[in-house]
Amino acid sequence: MTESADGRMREAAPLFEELAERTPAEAEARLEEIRRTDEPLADLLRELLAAERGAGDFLEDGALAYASPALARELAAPDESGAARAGEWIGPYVLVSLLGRGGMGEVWIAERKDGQFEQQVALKLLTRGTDSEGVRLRFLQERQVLAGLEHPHIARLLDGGTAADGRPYFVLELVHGEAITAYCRRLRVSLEDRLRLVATCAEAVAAAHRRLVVHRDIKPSNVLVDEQGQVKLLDFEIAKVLSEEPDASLTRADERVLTPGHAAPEQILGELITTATDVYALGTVLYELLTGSPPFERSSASAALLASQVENETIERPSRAVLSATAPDASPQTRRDKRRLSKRLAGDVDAIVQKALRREPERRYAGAERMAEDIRRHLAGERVVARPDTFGYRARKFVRRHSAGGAAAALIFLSLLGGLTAAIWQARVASANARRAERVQAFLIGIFQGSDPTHSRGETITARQLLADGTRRIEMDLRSEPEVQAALYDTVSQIEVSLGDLPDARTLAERALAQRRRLFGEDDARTLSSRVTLADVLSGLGEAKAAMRELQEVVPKLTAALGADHVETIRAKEALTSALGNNSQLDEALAMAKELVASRRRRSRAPTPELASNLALLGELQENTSRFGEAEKSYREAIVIFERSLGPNDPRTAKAHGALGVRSQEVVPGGVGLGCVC
Amino acid sequence: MTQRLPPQGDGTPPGEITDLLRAAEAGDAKASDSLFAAVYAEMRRIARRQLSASGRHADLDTTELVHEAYLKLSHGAPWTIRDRYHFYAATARAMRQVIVDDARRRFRGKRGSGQRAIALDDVAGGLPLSERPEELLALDEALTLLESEDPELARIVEWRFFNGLSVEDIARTLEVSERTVKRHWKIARAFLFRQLSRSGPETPA
Repeated sequence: MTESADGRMREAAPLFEELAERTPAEAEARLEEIRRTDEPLADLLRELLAAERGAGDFLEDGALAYASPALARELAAPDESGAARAGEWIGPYVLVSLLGRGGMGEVWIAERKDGQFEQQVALKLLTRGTDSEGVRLRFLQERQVLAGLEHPHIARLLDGGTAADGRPYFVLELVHGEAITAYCRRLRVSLEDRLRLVATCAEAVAAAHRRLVVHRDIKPSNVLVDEQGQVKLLDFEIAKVLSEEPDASLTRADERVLTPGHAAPEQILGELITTATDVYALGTVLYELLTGSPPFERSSASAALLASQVENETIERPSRAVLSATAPDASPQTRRDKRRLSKRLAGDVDAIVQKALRREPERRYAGAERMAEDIRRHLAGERVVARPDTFGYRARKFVRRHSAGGAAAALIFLSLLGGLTAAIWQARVASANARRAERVQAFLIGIFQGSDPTHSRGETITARQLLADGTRRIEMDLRSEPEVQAALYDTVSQIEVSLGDLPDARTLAERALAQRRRLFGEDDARTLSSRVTLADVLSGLGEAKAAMRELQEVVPKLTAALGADHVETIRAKEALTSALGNNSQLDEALAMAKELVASRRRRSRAPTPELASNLALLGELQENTSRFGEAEKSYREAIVIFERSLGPNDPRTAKAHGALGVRSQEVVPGGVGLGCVC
Repeated sequence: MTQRLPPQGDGTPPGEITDLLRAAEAGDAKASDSLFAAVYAEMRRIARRQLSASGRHADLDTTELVHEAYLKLSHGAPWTIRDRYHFYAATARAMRQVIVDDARRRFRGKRGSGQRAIALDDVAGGLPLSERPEELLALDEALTLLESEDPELARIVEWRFFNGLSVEDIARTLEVSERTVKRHWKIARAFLFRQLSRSGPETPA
C-alpha cells in the first residue's frame, strides 16, 4: 500500500460518503464489488472507513490545543511598536520566531523560502521606530564589518538587504549553541579545555582585529559553543571599524550601550577604544570560566557610579578567587579540590588573566592574538610572556631608577606614553592592517625592555642612551612602516629637544619632515606638524629668524587644516610665540600668546597645567612690554592652576612664584618646549 | 467604503483591508502577504486581550479570535462572500503557520533534528496535545498532501481546525450546503487520521 492516496481522493470521496451511510454488512458487500474492478481504490476506502471509525475526537479540539503555552504567550505578548511579527516576510525570508532584541534591532529565526531549499537562519532586522539615521548607519556598518569577516569561529554573514518598508536587515548563520559559560558548566568541561575554548575565541577576535574591527561587546552570551563543541563569536552589533578619519572613530563610551560586567575601564570612562578593549573582555570571560563568577561586581545604577566603581575596583587573582568562591562552576566541592585548583591556577594562569585585565590598555596583551598565543604556550607547558608584568614593571623600574635625574626621565616616559598613543593611533588610521598597531606597541615596549637591567646586563642606561637605542630601532625595525617611522622620528625629536640634544633632534626632525613630505605631500597636517617640530629645533639652535619665518607660514596653514584649537595648532602657536620673543618682536609675541591662551581655554573648560604654562609665558611677555598689572594677573592665575594641579612643590609652581615675586626682567628663555618644561 | 465607526487607533484602516482582500482575490501575492500581516496583527491584539482577561492560555479561543478579527477588520461594513473567503484563507494561513512553526521549534528542541516520530500512540498515553508537536507536524504534512489530492477537502479542514469556523459559516462562505461541509469534513478527517496512523510508508499501523 502506498503512503498517499495516489491522487484518488476525488474518486474516493463520493464512494466513501455512500459507504458511510450503509450498514457495515452492506458496506462490506459494496466494497467487494469495487474490489473486483479496482483493488487499490477498495483498499483506500477500507482504510478510510477504518480511520473514520477510529478517529474518535481527532481534530475536534482545534489547532490551538497543539500550541505551546509559550506560543500563546507570544501571541499575547505586548506588541512593541514597529516590532516585526512571526510570519512576516522579509525579502525571501519568513520570520519564524524571535530570538532576542538588541540595542537597535531584533534577531529572528527565519526561513528562506524560495522553493529551492529551506534553511534556518538568524535574521537581524532594524526595529521600526528606532531607525534614526545614526542607528541605521551603525547597522549598515555592522553589515559592512561582517561582510569582511570570514572565519570558522565567527557567525557567518549569509545575506543582507532592505525590507519592503526600507528597514535594513542581514542574515547570519544560525548557531545552535549555548553561552560558553553554560556549556562549560553543563558538561563540566576541564580546565584545559576551557582555556582552549578561550584561546580559540581570542583567535577569532584577532582575525577581526586584523580586519580593523573591534568587537567591543564580548561576553559569554556572545560566545556560543555549538553541538560540535565549536566556539562561535556572535553579535558585532557595536563593533566598529578602526579606520578613516580619527575624529569619527574616536568613540566615547557615553554614546553607546555597553555591558557593565564585561566592559573595559576605557569603555566605561569614555576613553579611547582599541583592540585592547576586546582583550579585556576576553579576560573577563576567561575569569568567569575559571572561577565561576565574573571578576567584579558592578552596578549600573548610574554612569557616574559605574565610573567610580571602575576607578576603585581591584580584581582578585583567580587562584585566590576559587578559594573564597562559594559555588564555582568547576565545583571543587571539598577544600582539597579547591586548593588543588587554586594551585593549578596560581602562576601562569593568574598572570594571563591579570595581563588581560590590566586597568591600562597599553599594559594588556598587545592584541587578542598575543593572548591566544600565551594561553597556548601555557597549555604546551612553555613559559608565558604574561610573567613578569613587562611593560608596567619595566616602566616603573625605569622611572624609579632614574628618580635622581627625575624630571627628564619621567618626561621621557610620559612623552613616550603620549607618543605611543599617538603613534598607535596614526598607525591605525594610516594602516590597512591592525598588526601594525601591535608592532608599534611591541616596539615601544621593547625600548623599555632595553632599559631593564635584566635585559641589558645591569648597565645603567641613561635617558639619552635609551633614545639613541630607540632611534636605531625605529630605523631598523620599522623600515616597512614609513608612516609610523616618521611619526616616531617626530616624537623622539621633540623629546630630544626637551633634553637639549639639539643636533640629534634636528637630524630626526629633518628625517620625519622629509619622509612625511614624500608620503603625504606638502599640505598634509602631518607634514605641517613636522615643520613645527623642525622649526622648534632651529629656534633652539639659534636660527631664530628662520624658525620664526617658518612658523609664521605654518601656523595659518595648520589653523586652516585642523582648526585654531587643535593640539598641533596650539603646539605651533607656542613655538611661534617663543620664536617671536627670541626675535624681539615682543608685540607680535604678546598677541600670539594671547591667542594661545584663548585656544587653551576653548579647548578645555577645566584649567590644565598647559594653560598655566602658557599663562606664565603670557605673563613674561606682558612684563617685558611693561604691562605689569596684566602680567601679575597672568602669573597669579598660573600659580593657582599649578598649585591645584601639580602641588606647591612642583618646579613649575615654584618658578611661577619666582616670576611673580622677582619680576624677572629676563626675556623668555630658551625658546623651546615652553609648553612642556618650565 | 464609508465608515460610521469611530477611528480605531491600532487597526488597519478599513478601506485598506478591503483593498487588500480584493487584490488578494485578483491573485496579487504581495497583497496576500500584506493581508496576512494585517490579519495576524489583529488576531494577536485580540489574543492578547482575551488572555489578559482570563490569565490562562487555555482560554484562548480560535473561533472567537477569528470572529473578532472579522468584526474588527470589516469595521461592521458588509463584506462580499469573496471578501470573506479571502479573509478566512488569510486567518487560516496565519494560524497554521504560527502553530506549525511553534511545533517545529519545539520538536527540534525535543529531538535534536531529523528523526520523525508520529505519536498517535500517545493518545492512549494521555499526553496533552500541547506536548505532541510531532503530531501537529505530521498533521501539517498530511494536510499538504490532502491539498494536492483535493483542495476543497483541505480547505474545510483548515477553516475548521485552524480557524475554528462553524459548519454553518463554512457552508455560507463556500456556498455549499451544510450537509456537504459535514460530509467533506468527515472524509478529510478520515484521510488525515489514516495518514497519521502510519508510522512510515512500509509499515502500516
